Amino acid sequence: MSVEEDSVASILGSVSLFESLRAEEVARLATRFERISIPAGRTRDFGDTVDSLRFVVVVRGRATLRSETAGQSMTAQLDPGDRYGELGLMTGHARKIALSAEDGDVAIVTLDRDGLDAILEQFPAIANPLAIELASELAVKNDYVRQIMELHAEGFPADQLASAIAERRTAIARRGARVRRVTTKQLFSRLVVRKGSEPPFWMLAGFILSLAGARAVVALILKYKLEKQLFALVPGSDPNPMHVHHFNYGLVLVGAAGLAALFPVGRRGLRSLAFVFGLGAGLVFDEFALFWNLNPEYAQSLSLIACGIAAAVLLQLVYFRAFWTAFARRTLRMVRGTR
Amino acid sequence: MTAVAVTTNAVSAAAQTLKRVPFLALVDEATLERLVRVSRRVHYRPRQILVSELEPGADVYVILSGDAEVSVDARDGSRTVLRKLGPGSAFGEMSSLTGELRSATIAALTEVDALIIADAEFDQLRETRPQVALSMARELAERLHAVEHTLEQLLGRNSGRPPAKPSDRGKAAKGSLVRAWRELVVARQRDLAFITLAAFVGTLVAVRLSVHYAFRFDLTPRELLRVLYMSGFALLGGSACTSVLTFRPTWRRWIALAYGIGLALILNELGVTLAFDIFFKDIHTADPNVAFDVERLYRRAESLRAIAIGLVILVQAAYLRRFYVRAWFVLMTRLRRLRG
Repeated sequence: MSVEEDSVASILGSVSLFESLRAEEVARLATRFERISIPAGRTRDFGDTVDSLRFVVVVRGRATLRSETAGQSMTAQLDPGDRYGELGLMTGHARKIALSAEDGDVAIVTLDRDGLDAILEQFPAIANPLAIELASELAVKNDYVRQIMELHAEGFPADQLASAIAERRTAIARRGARVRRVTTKQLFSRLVVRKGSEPPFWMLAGFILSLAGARAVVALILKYKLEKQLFALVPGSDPNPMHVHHFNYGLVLVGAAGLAALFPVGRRGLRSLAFVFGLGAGLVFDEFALFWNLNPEYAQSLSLIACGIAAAVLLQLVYFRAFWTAFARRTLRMVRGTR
Repeated sequence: MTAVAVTTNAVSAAAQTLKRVPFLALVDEATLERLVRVSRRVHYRPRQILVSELEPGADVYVILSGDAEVSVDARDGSRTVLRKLGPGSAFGEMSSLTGELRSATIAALTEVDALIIADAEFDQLRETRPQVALSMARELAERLHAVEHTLEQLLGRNSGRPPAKPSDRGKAAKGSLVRAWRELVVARQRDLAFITLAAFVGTLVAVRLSVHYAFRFDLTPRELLRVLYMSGFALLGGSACTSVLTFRPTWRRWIALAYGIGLALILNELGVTLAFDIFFKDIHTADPNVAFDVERLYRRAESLRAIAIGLVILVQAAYLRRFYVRAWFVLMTRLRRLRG
């Protein structure tokens, strides 16, 4: 089976590492890659030694990748456009992999270490996305190092420590077998989440979600006159009804997220706490007028105004934080200058 | 932290220091001088924090003069110093590339002058001068290789460190009230959970006394209660929000203080905020036969129950946090073993 030049250039053009290159540059880049066909049922091995490390891009068919990392073997599937091995090639960290053509013929293109150096010299624009991928991988691996060092420092019994270490080993092996695919995740991060603004973004997401949810549920309950059945009325000696408003549940969520965030948490934990805070804040602001006026009437415009202000503040935090920081800094400088 | 005015000579000197940063070494002088002009130059006093772990932010810092240290905080609150930074050292480039939260705390050891390159400027520099990205890619690859090597060594080591032995000082003071005071209060002055607990208890005492006398001498208790519970909402909401966004140690102590005060104010008046429906005939109509008696609401039992629960949670957080972390770890390990 031969690998057509057009399809190689087209597939390489879809790889995010090369997306900043023009079509003719991608065509020139494609000439640097070695074309390899793997017939159905056959396997090719790479990465036994540093010299045999390869950056692999699947051009046609579905390949099965088996990799050995941290003493564990992992399997992954690669479809056209999926890639593997560029970070290993950069670090020179030998990792044995086998590519099999289990579901029919597979066409791949590969690049060795010298080839990667050559394309980086020829097309330095590739270095930027590559540096971003290296930095992301380094951040994750640094987190693993820290987790394992903390496990060692805790002085756990040997069997429990061994079990926790084995768990991390599996996670690292799974990461070692990770294939980079053409996904919308990067696009989402680039267009929706402003760099360095992840916690405020998840706060805003939680806020909008819970606000919309609470408004919709209350509207449906009032429309179908289900207050008596669905508004949880607290029984007691008082003849009048007492209802635990949902701003109280929101307050519990806000308080719990705030208290938990005072203690050391990882990056993922912080994202979750920001989301929980947003959920709680949505419930609290939805009934802002109730506790402001001590009046159980739900349809008060003050609640909507408060929700609008809170959403606007969160939006500023997510998308205009740099502007407001610079504005505050400049204002402060002006105030100091005039004194 | 103070902004520093930049003269032409200072620009040239700062550009020379930027040349010492490995990934900026190949950039021409004119570009570096432009970078210095568009960047902020900030002065830090000793012990001042330049960047805090887990803080959002993507600007790149270059130390122009002075020394700083890189440290991380463990879950038990202990601090580990990773390395020292001097003139020509850069940090923050990882966050600029990935958009991730800061991974370590950088504190000034001496008087430090730093150049803060805005994230957008640094992005532009990498795009217009690809050799910067190339140098960074090579440097990051080396660091990744070193970290992978460390990981392999750590994964091969299964023995835990023996638990620390109690100190002789502890033995000598065994059973004394002084020791209890020292261990339970003095040693925890900087612990955020303890600050929250202390603020909670102190506020409760002050507020209950104030409200008691406001009712007794009719000093507009309804207005006082309203100001107190709205302040509680504002303090709790504000401190919870900033505790997710701010990681400077000094600010976090203020956040913990505000959280404790806010929680106390809300729980102290939970009877009011939970029970205002009882003055309504149904969910929409106010009951004309029932007078709005705020003192009756204030004295309801819900507040006392909530205060007790809040106190128990804060005491657990201050004194038994480590036990719960370990218990959670052991439980999860056992569960995973059962499953697999």
